[in-house]
Amino acid sequence: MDPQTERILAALGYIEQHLCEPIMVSDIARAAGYSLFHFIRTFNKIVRHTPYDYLMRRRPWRVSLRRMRALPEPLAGCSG
Amino acid sequence: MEATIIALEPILLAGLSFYGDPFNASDVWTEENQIGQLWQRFMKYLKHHQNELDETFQHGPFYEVHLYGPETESEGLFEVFVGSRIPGIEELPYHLMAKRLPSTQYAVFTLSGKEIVGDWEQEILAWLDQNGYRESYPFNFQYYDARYKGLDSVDDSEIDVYLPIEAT
Repeated sequence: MDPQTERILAALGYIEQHLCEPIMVSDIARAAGYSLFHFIRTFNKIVRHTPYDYLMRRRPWRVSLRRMRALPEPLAGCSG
Repeated sequence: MEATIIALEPILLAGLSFYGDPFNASDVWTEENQIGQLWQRFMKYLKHHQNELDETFQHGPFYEVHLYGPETESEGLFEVFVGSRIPGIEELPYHLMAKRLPSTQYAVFTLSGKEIVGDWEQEILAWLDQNGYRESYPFNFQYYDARYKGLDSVDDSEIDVYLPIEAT
């Protein structure tokens, strides 16, 4: 596997591990070991989605709903 | 990676702008991504208005400015502006937008060949850390002159990257 794909797989793993936390695209870029600009470029190339779009699609709907309503509940655990 | 430190007066540019994720649903290092399309729009403008425009404005050097804001870290969205220098705001063609970059100190890095399409931002930020600087404004720009031969000839090309800096 080429190093670029390996890094993007690491980013996808990071997303899965932190789905219920308020992570940012810059956190995912750091997990992949790329600058934000290069990460966005590489992620789009391999995954064919923007990192933020991918994160939103993977994130449980309850978490997204809480964010939309700006509810102050903690995200950890994804309960309720 | 080596840098030259310089101080510049404000830079006034006229050009076109894109905001969002420029690589969304496109091949990444082709001219089909949003940055490539922005350049195509700008070059088309220059061609169609060549009789009305100043020589220097038409033939460059050209600037590609990346401007980061609150949604950059969280959602990966940012502004890309491509353009050329104008001497004053009264010279702004009505089809174009202006961007005024502030007077500041810059670290200037020259990228050659494959470095141009690599992760130069990561290397530049590491250089800042190691040399006692931080970014003074949330933007950087790429400077394209006759040394840049196009994406098809990137191996024979050079560009300069300017990063606004201040001492930590």
